[in-house]
Amino acid sequence: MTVSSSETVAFEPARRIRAILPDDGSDRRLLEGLWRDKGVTRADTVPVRAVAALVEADARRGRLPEPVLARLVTVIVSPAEADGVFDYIYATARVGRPGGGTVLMDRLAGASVYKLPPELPEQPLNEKFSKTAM
Amino acid sequence: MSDTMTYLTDATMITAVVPAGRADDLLKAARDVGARGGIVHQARGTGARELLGLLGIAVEAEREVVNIVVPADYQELVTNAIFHAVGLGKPGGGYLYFTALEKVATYIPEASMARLQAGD
Repeated sequence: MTVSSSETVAFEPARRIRAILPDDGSDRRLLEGLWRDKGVTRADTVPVRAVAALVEADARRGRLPEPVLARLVTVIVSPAEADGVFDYIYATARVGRPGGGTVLMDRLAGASVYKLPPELPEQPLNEKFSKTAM
Repeated sequence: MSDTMTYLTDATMITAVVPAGRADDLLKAARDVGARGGIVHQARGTGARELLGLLGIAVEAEREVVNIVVPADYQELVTNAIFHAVGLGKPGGGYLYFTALEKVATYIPEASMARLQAGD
């Protein structure tokens, strides 16, 4: 695909880290920690239906095991930060426990920078979530 | 919880976007050829529906997005199985793409770790 534009926008190379986590609130704690400890602003969480991988779930022959509710957290970071953030996610979300989920990282050709207002109030993320939670 | 962290490499993430209700068929096809699990979330498609104008009302916009992680060696086998099982070659059947993963980390049971270290 070729796109031409009169104004060139500078995109930067990036890494995408995705974490599939159990739906136990660990995604919210992780997002809060990423913002507080690592300054990560490009992150989101969405609900997903997960079919178990390593944990052998009960299933009738020829049928899929019963899916469970999980969360998919997606984080975009610069290549220089990527390994540190990957390890941080693994430790903070306790991925190394049975049923703790999975962390994956892949390479993005480009990403835009997410700019936030400089006078952003220091509002805890948990408070924001409780106000916007459905 | 394990204190050590093991990175897995040579893995691929397959992403498929299919009409709502087809994700389970897709997962079953992938599982039948050795993929162990996956995740599904809902999405709303756009494109053909708008191009068709009024006729587009008949095109279902709800989609399911399926992500499956497989060893890179299994990529071709699993993508082919998915392609045929859910009819990605048919108009409106959906599409898939796959990306190489730099690394993966998850809980690995001790028995599986021992087998990996033994090179089985």
